[in-house]
Amino acid sequence: MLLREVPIGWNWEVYVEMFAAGVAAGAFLIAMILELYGRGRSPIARVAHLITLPLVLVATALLVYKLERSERFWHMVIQSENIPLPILKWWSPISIGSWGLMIFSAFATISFVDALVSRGYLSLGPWNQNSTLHGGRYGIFFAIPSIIAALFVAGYSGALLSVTAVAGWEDTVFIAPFFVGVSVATGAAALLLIDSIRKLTPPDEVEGLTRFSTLSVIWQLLLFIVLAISLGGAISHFVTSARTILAFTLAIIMALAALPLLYFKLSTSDQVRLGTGATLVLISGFLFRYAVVMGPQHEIE
Amino acid sequence: MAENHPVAFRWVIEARRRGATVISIDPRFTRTSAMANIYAPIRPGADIAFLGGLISYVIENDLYFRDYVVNYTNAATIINEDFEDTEDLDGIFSGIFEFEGDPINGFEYEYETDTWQYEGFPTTRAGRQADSEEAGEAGDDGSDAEAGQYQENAPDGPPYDDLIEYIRPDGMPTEDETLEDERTVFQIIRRHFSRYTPEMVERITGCPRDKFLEVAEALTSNSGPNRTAAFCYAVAWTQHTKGVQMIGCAALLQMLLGNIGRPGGGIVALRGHATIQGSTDVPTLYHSIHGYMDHPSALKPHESIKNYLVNDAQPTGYWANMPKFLVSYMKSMYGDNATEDNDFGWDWHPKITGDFSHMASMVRMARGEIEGFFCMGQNPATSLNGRFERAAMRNLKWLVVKDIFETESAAFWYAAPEVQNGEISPEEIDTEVFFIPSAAVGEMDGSFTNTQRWVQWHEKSADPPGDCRSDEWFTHQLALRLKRMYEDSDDPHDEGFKALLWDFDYEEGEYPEDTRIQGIPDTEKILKEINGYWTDDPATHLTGFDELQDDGSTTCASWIYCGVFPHPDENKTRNRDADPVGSRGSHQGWGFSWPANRRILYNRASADPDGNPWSEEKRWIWWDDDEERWVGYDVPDFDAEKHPDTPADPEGIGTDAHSGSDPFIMMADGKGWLYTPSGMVDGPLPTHYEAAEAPIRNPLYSQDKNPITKYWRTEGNELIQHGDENYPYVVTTYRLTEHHLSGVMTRWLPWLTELQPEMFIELSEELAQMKGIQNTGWVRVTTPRGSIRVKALVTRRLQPMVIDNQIVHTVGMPFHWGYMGVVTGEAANDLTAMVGDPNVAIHEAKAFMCNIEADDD
Amino acid sequence: MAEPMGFFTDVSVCIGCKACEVACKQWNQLPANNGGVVELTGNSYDNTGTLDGTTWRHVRFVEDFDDRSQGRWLMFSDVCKHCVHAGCLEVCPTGAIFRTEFDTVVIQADICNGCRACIPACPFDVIDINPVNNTAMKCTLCYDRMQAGMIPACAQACPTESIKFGPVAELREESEVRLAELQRQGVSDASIYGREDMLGGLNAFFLIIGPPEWYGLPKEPQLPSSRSLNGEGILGAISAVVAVVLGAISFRNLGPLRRKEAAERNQAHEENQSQVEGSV
Repeated sequence: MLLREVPIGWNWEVYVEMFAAGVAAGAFLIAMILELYGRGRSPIARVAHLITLPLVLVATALLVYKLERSERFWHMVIQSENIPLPILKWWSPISIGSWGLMIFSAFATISFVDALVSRGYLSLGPWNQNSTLHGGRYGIFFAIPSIIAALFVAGYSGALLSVTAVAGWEDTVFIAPFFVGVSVATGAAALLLIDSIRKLTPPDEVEGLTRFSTLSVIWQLLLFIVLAISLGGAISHFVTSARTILAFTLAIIMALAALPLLYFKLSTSDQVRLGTGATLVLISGFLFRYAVVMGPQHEIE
Repeated sequence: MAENHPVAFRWVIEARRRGATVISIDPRFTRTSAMANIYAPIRPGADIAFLGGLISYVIENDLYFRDYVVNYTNAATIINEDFEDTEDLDGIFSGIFEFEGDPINGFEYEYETDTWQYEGFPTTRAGRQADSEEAGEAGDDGSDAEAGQYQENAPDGPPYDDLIEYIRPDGMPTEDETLEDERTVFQIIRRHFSRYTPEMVERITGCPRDKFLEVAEALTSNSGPNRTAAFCYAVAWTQHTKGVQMIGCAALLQMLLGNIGRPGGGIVALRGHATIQGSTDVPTLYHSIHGYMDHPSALKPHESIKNYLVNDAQPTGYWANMPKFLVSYMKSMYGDNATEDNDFGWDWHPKITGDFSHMASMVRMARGEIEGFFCMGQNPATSLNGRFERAAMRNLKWLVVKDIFETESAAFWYAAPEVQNGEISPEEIDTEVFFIPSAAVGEMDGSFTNTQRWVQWHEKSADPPGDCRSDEWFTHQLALRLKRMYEDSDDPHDEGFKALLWDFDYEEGEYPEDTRIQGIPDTEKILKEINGYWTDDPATHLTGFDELQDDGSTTCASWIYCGVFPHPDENKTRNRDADPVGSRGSHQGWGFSWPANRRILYNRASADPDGNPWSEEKRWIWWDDDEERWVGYDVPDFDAEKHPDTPADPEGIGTDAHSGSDPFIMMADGKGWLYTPSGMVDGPLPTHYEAAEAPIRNPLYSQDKNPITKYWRTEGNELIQHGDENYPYVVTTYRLTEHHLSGVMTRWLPWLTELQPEMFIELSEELAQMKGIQNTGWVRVTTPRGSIRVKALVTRRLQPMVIDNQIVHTVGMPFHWGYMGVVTGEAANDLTAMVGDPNVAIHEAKAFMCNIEADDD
Repeated sequence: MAEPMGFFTDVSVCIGCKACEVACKQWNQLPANNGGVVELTGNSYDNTGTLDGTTWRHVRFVEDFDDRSQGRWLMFSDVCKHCVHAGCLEVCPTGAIFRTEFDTVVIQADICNGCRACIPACPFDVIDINPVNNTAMKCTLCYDRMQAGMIPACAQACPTESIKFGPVAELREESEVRLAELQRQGVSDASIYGREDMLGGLNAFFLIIGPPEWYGLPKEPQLPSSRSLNGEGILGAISAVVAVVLGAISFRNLGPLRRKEAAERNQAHEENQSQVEGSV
């Protein structure tokens, strides 16, 4: 593949969007797993229900803003020449991603409303504080498609990058798996961070979350190694500028540093320790996103 | 050619597709070279050495087209025994003497051409009368007693037949068809070019010997009865102190090879502008009047039409008809006011008093001798020696610039480099500048005459915006206003203007309705006057120049265009019928090609002396025994019914003096001139001289430069001496495809400026390394005339050469930039000098010397 | 569908005059880069650099002068390839990019929302955003002119017929003849770029001299989807399953939480909150 000369122009909006959507997807995934365990109403789950929608909205807003013709955002899903017929090209990551994000937003909206209902801020007939979706009878039916949607959102942006003719991105099929890892790790870390501030969650859930966080960071790092190996020499297309080299290095160091903080729970300052670990994972995930998105683009500039 | 004439170059590509060999000889590897089968590098200014080498190769290897050369050229003609060649005089010809005329003419020496003449057959008045004038503006007043007597005794006209008879020399030139006589043109040429061996070619031009021989081999193997070769050049070939001789040298070679007057042959001059050809035919040039007649001159005995004809008419050959051309021209100038009694208004007609070419005029301007200047379609501010010319323009009282954009010349008083850097302040410049916005070509009707002499009409497609007006509107309105101004003048000086026929307004009811502009002249009326009509009946047009009369009964501005508008409703320049693809023809139905719609000049040469085609492949015009006339694909450039066996009449005038196998009907002897007994001021044969500025002395003779160079020794115009180590690099200037001339039309168009945005100097990697210059880094280029800062374009397309045992670097610069426009840059022509060709007063911008230094911030 | 139409662009007769670039910009009303005020690139005579949203024809100059006696200066008028299998068309989410009745690939400016997906999807680096209307743009093969029976502006302007326009089948035959001709003349490194084996055939294809890299052309351009979409999807799914499994493992000790319990917890939480607030 030859060096491109035309800038692709996927800049801060794109990696910030991917990060936000990833955190949302990861957090939502955890909430839905908890749902499967019957803990749909646990504080962690509720936090996840509350943060997913805003994060998804931020991500969507960034995507719309990033469009050169933002007012035509709806062209992504509707045939502008045959309103209201939908358009879906399942083989196009952006097309299917738009649908995925839309469906995911729908789930997130329901969960968000459910969280409000459970607190009594809202009451919609049979849907009231005593009869919420999550933790209820139908929660599990809701959780399964939600998990799929969340994982789709976690991974599709990686596919989007791979499905280009850009040196680096096109040289591996492991960006999507890696992005799933990053999403899950950052989602867990976000919940952990919030919990370390609010200190509400019962120990068994915190323990589960911490374990999950630890495992997902390890999974993410393993996927990164696989990604790097799959790239081989093509990794040079990622380490193209001082900024991306620094980003990758810090991301790896921070992820590694977070592991002991998360894993070894010391009695006195667990919360601070967990909060610090979670913060490191979040920053690390952000830097990974940044470096993977911008590395090959810096080469073009 | 690909660089400057990409559209014409399509035919070169087409020829190459069909198996033609394309050769590119250039100091730089250009876009033309990219398409060539053979690229031969050459040092700028060494062209005659290269061509002379080819001539020598052709002669020494017996590769010339003998039948053609013996019958159709003056190879067999015996030359005056007093002639001395550069071989005899170490680089100069016989007849040189110090120039004593007005220094404004730029000469230091001139030649007396008597000794150059044919034995027993003078081809010029100079030869007839032993008068010393040759260069037009050169020489004394020609009033010596003998000449005066000769003049006086000449019979007057009209009719002028007796006058032509009177000036006819006796007999015809002496010939030796074996070409063995030592004084034949052929033997003189052989001796003259014997020094130009392949070794010498390599030494002077830098072109490797094997490349040169490859070119020679390709050229000769593609010439002869079955094949023809053409030389194409863009006007850069004229921009040398020996430009005319360079082209003459190519013509000489082409005639030796039999490549003139035949399809696929010739010298193809690719002009710098649209319709430059047209501006020579109906001239914007100071030294000639319509149809290639000399401009009446106060320095010559041109006191009357009779005297003019005695001086300028050529009694043998087609030019014997000059009285008809001239009188018809005078009728077009002064209409009914021109009568036999007032010598057809001859006294009203302006007479020139010296060199009024561009360079001489700018020197005059610098001296403060010129008050006002109409500048239309040119841009002297970034033309040669720009700094000098801008200084000259500061001496004007007024300047009118008419162009489509505000040119450097229009803005010289506030935007020129010397004003920008504070050397001169606008307050010090008294010149009043009028800028007249011009219409572009699509906004006016008119015709273009291309380099093949095809006159083609173009229609206005839209009105020009705002106050923009076409050149013809402007000139027409100016003339009408001036005529009104002079209407009541009693000054004899103004008589001519009052008498001038100026009738170009539309007839009543015919003014075009699709325009908001008033006062446009009827451009077809102008073409009608150029074509000519019967004076008594202007509605009856002349259908060809054979109808012209010398008694005023015909009116015709430019005889060569006669027939372009044969009927009031038939403008042939509008014709657009091409011959079918693949058929043999000359596109008679497309436009009009002067003269008489002939597509190939001197096409009688396309048939052998007996009138048969030289070969089936090169069939063009031939004698048809049944029809008893010349027939073929083209209009014969010959008396249509003159049998090939017709002998020359040794007493005859006009073409009667030529035989049925003398194709060159305009020449006195009907022959193609390998050797030029008259018409050239700097020698009868091309000779290699170094440019006015060169890295070496002339290896061939002790005469370094053309002794008859035009040069103005004045402040701001200093020359670099040969071999001056302070200025070691040869520089050549040129155009790029993306821009036009000084860029006045193109540096304002973003679509073009983005293609070539910045002024640059091209130089070889070797030179760049030696001088520490980076690609796109800044370079300071200096000559005694000026200094400019430009960006470097480092490329291996340029190469150091070994010239005369030393390494010579050539650099090149486009001359498109100036200080106005969307993109600006310093002007290459701030470096050039006012030195040029003695025949046509064109400056030498294609080969001079400079120094370069890295000049980064 | 009408007959597939395309370009055959022949490096061996291109004189680098750039008439195609200008004719294209004029017909399509595309602005010059930065109003025409750009810097000398120093890259031979190429100052427009690349195809992009406003340069739909671009002439590249290759100086091959390592051996000056055999020096070559090659000019290559690049353009959208109008691939039979087009990456841009494949990824375009809005349907703005479509295949015309002439088998060419055209971006409809009134539909495109500028998502940029097609820009990196094109293996030839052809597409970019046009700053005038902020949509992705590229050569349309003069779809508007073609519909009116005219030939594209660049082909019309090309003085040496280096750009030939016509039915692709005819152009392909012509190109093979020309290639054979050149090879007979000893131009051994001439080749056709964009035969049917490349992305199903490039409807705008080329005769090049020297390797494709000289002209910024990929040796083996690939369709995005053919390369990685499936693999990426499957691997992504595996990764997702692993994530779920990790979740299941992590939370394996949790039993269901009863509503009452949850309510108690919430109450505890609120008390906790007020205590915290009170202590401040």
